[in-house]
Amino acid sequence: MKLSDALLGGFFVLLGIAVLWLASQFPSFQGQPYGAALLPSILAVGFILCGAIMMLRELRLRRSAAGGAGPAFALVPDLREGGAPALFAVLGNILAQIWLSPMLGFLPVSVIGLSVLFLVLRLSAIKALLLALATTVVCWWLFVDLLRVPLPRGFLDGVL
Amino acid sequence: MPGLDILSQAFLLVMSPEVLLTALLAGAFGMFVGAMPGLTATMATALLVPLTFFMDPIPALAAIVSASSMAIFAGDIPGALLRIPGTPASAAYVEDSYRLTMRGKMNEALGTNLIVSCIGGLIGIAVLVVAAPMLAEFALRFTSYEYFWLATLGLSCAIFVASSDPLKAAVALLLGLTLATVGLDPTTGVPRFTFGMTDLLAGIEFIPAMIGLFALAEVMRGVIRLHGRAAPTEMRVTPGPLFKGVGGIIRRHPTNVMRGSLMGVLIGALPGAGADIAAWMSYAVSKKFSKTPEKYGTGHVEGLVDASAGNNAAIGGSWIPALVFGIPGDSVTAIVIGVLYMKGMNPGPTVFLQNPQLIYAVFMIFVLTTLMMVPLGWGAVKVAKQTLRVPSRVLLPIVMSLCIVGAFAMTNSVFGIVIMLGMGITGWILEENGVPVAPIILGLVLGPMFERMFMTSMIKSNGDLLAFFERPIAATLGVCVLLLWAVSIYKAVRQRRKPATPPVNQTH
Repeated sequence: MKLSDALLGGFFVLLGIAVLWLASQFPSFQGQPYGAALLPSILAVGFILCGAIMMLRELRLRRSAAGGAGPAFALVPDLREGGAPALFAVLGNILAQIWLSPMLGFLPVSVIGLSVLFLVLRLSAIKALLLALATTVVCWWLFVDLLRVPLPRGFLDGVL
Repeated sequence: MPGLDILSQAFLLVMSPEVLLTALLAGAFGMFVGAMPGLTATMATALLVPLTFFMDPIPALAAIVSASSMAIFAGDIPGALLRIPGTPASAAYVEDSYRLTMRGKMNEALGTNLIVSCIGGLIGIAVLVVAAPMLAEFALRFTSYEYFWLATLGLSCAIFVASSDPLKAAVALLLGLTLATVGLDPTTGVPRFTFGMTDLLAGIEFIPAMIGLFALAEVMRGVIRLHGRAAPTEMRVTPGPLFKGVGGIIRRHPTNVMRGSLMGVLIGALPGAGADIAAWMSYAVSKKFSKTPEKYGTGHVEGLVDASAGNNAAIGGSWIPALVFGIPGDSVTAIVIGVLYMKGMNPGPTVFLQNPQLIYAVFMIFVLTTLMMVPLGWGAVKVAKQTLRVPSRVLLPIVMSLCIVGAFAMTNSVFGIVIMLGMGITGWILEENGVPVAPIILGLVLGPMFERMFMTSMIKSNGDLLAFFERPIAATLGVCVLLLWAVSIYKAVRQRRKPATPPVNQTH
């Protein structure tokens, strides 16, 4: 996702205002003039300043470039040319681990998710399945068997 | 110098089979990750950290030191074979080493890279060993004012010295500092920016955030780029001994080795600037002082000597502020500081007093892994033709899995994965828009210390800002910071009259 500097700057200005507002809601204590809100407020002012300068810089550039400036919003070229499914497959894998693995367990989510990702990246079906299985088993062995990390077992709880 | 008992204690700590084996395995892992284009030294470290979480401090540090030094050298291998730098630190001289390979001089290029990297690394360590304890003794007298200015100087360097667009680096830094304020406020105990989520009370877990920024963002960028990529270029691997003729090259360019190494240490020690900037600067300085600057970039070995000494020397340099002040010299040491806090070894001058054996053990590990680089590097070059064939479409999903599992392991809950995903998407979008991500991690690591020192100083002085300049060292540091800001802003305003150049996309 490619944003113009003006748009990006505007976003940071908004973020600064939001942080400033949230910080103003922090409780303050009697006799303590410098509290929890001090640093966040300073940082928020920094966001607003930097964002504003970014916007001004872009506007000046656009004026001097006379129409030669880029669009306000564009997709990354690789994404436009067909990289989107791969990106969504990666994000889907992670979201599935967040939402589905507590219920289904890490193992099935990982094997299915990785197989799909490998297929989207145009590996053959056999290779995709084998690689997905191998990666999942190695992760499980390394983190669960060796390091005792409680990766979700899901419905396989008791079997493993 | 420390007593013999401390040195022998340190020696015993290092010479255990566990430490040696960890260093060897982590080194091999670092070699592999560094050699794969698109996977960086910082990523190698980020993926290793969840494993080191379960180790004792010394093997954990051994793993990080070993992986990061190997990865910096290994980045040279695909540079010479494919003209793609394996890590950003090898980008400065990729043209020279690739053209040397095209002329059938692959062994000369990579052999020189390897030996000079080792020498540069050792010089960096020598400076670290001498400078760190001296600075630590000096730093014992520091109060919150000095630490406040040091942290500010570090953060300012990250904005002005280490980036092509200070404004965007500043925004990244602000983002990191703001993220660091999430959770319970250390001075008043008030929850900040938690939006009622109990998971956020302890703050943004640092390691999942870093895995997101440096590994997941890279995976996302990688899979998008995979679409319709052409078949890999032909690799021209020259058989024969790797180190033939290397001795001659080093003997002809001793000043280059020294100059590159010293530049590397200095730049490495600056907060925010690491091996990649060290390599670019060493290369540029080398070209400036060379008798044959026109040959640079055409397969000339001189700049390659300076820059490959520089990037490895920067590793030692970056540990100086990290160990002495707890201020990271680059993104790898930012990770190291996080690990040190996790292990209860809070970095700062007191570690040198209370646990000197740990510090000297770290120094010994540095020497050990730097020497180990030569045989491991030799092996890596010999199998390069095979490993570089492993396609990204196989590698990237595996890295993604390691990200997921590693992030989970840091919180023992899916919340770690949530943080990783959020930071990964943020990092990806920011980098696509020319905002560097290294300052975010610097802000996230330095944030708590920066705020503690700032608040302590404010409360002590009752809000009197002049008190920040009352002590001599604090005043000197403060003036340095103000000068740095003044000069940078003056330069930026003057440059506005000239047409602006498009920002360079930095990857770390």
